[in-house]
Amino acid sequence: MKAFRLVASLAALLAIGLAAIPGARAQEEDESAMVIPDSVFQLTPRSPISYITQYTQDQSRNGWTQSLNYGRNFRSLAINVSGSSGTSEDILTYGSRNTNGDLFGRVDWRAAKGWIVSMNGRYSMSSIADGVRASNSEQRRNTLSFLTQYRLPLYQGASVTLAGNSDFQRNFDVRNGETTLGGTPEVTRAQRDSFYTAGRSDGYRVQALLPAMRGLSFDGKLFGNRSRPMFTILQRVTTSDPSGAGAYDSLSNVEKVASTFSLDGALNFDRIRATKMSLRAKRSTLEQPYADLSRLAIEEYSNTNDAYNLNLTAAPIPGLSFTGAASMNRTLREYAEKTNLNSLITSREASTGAAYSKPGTMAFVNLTMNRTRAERQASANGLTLTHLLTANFQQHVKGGLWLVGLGSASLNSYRYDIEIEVPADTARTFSKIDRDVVSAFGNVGMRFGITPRCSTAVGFSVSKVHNISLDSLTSKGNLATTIYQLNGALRLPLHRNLTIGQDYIFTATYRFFDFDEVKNDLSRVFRIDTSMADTLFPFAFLRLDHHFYFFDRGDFRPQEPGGPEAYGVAQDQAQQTLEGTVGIRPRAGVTLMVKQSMTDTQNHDLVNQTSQGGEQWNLSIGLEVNRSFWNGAGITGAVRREERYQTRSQLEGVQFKESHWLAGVTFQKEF
Amino acid sequence: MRTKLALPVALVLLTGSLSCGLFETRDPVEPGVPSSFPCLTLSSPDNIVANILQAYGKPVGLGCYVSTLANYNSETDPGFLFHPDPADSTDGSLDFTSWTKTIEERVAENIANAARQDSFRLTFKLPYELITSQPDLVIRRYTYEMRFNGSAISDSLFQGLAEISMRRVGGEWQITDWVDRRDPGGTTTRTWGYLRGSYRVGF
Repeated sequence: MKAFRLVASLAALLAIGLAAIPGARAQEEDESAMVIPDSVFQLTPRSPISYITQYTQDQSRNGWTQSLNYGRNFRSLAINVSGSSGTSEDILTYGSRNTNGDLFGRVDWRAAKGWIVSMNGRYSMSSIADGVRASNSEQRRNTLSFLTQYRLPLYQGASVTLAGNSDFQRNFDVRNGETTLGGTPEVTRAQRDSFYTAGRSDGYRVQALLPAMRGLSFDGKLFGNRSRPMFTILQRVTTSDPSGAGAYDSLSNVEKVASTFSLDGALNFDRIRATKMSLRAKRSTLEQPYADLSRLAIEEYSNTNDAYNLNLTAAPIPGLSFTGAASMNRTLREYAEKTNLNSLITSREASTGAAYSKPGTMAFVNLTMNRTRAERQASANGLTLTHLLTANFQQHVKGGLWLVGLGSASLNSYRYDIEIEVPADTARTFSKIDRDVVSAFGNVGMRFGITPRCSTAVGFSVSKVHNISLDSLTSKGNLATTIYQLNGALRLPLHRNLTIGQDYIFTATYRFFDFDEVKNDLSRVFRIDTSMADTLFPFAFLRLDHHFYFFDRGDFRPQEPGGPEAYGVAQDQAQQTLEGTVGIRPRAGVTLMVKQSMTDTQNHDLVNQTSQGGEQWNLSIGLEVNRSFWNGAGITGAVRREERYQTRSQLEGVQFKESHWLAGVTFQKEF
Repeated sequence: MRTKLALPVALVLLTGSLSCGLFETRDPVEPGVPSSFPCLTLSSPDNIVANILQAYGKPVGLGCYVSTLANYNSETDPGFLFHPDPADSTDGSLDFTSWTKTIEERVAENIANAARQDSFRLTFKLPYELITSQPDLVIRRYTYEMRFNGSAISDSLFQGLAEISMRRVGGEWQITDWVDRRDPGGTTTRTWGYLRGSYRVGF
């Protein structure tokens, strides 16, 4: 019997594997269309109706959303209803507006042991208006679905679930546009394009769980559906011209075939102690016609995907584990009309890793190699190689002292197909747009806890990126960028109510051009952020911040042929910001806050011997609320008024004054 | 102490030795004709806009245009992001998902290669609308117009509003967010975002 189960499982996986061999038809798995689990009928206590509403506003847009949810689960019945709506608007002069809404309801009924009958319906809409009279568009989607499912228990632990469904769909898309044709009086032309789509989709699904023997099991899924939706296309053009010239109606009906198919099987093996292995094969196809409003035509899209995955994990001793994975993937996307979007992507990937973890020590290392080939594209066909190595460690040294480190290296090599040119360049071995990008990053740091509340940390990192274009037309821009960064942090609670914190960052960025050395340069940034926070009383706090920023940049090249590289500063900038914040908490969860800051900026152009500077004042007054009220109601959010004044803008060259409201408020209530 | 460190160090060394040679790059060909594309340093938002205007749509200016876009650093600092007009985004026929610098570079290259056969003109109308101006952040909204004369690109006129967020990082200004909107005062609903989406090929 065991042998029979083993052979049956392997045969099922092999069948899926053979079915997934490239060259067959289209596919895509519908992950949401799995069978209904028994957990739906897990009895839950009375669930309240949940209502959430949210309002947001910034300098240019505002938005308002609402949602209402209710669900009850009984031993044989599960009910879920929900609704949501949202609108957002451009509050500047242009007035574009988006609106959307969604209503959903579902009932699952366990008619008998193993037999479930289900029904759900969804109505959704979205509307977009561009403001003034440019255009507006609207979409409506209506779906009513019926499903029946039967779960057949087989031998111990094995089962097969069979399901069938029918979906009724009604979709509506419309777009209105208006243009001015000129003349006196002014003649306008209005165009209304619409699609109405109606269809019934019948589907089936099978899920099997087959334990073949101890430690080996097979898990398989089969899903498919098919429909013949009818598209009704109507174009109506009207004009304000009294003669009616140019006005017409165009109506047509088109029937297309839509289908999906998915076959997925996995063998899971965990009989060897501390070792797990899984082998999975999957194929899915999709044939999907849809209304293309921009072209007023039916676009036919198909997608075929074949995937194989092998995963291994082993933990030979406590704290040490090894992983290995390999995968192959093939995806073919085809459009009947927009053929420039067609593509065939095949990829192979292998990765291996090791991890070690025990109290006081943690380390991992992982290596991934990927090879992806793009074909049948309108352009940029070719091969992309990706190699990625990452490593990380963390070691407790003594007391509150920790050492941490992180490193990575990567290579992305873009190897495009060589375009055939006339006259043919027979010596060419790479495409004109071929390039390699190699990068490396390393970081070491130390964390030291002086006391449980007082700590300091220091880190040093180096990162390097080298962009290499291979062709002589573009290789002049080949550039190696190296960034050195030193950062430190100090957290010092002087008193129960008084805390001082400081962060330091020093960054130096070197840029070396492979074939254009005169452009080599260096830029440096030094920054210190200091903050002091004092909780004066239980109902108030005071915070003082100071930010210092210094930046300079210039050439970094030999000043004479053959000489050493030297830094010639061409520009520097210094900026200081002083910021004071006072907060008052009149009630728990309510904070009234006033923040005033002043930023002084000084720019020096050392080449042209010019300087400019200016001050910017900012005032922010706001209210923050995070409170719960009666019977599960709560409000969270903030409203702020921001004022900004710039005495002489370095950026815009003029005085600048700005004020606006920012708001984000969420209210929720359970009934 | 030594035994504690021995295993992690051994793991790192083992993988390091296994990966030797995996990060070798190919040797480039030295530049032939010196490039004379006048790319301005990224020392101010004005220079960024000037670089966009002179470099976009030209194969030789691609490197200059791409240099104005912020690099990806981490999940929380993804660098350049493009946000299409909502109507273009929900059109259904175009893919705008995860539009980062990598995608923007590829699309700009495709458009530049296509536009090579057409005459091309990009203009930003002045004055622009200043949304905010802070020491390290400037957001401007430009009304743009892009015209192609030729047959390589099927639509000849693209209009809209470009809301460009520029941040100063390490002394250089770079574009972090580009929000595209239709221009209610324009004569076409074809936007730069629509053009971009049409040339996002194969990924």
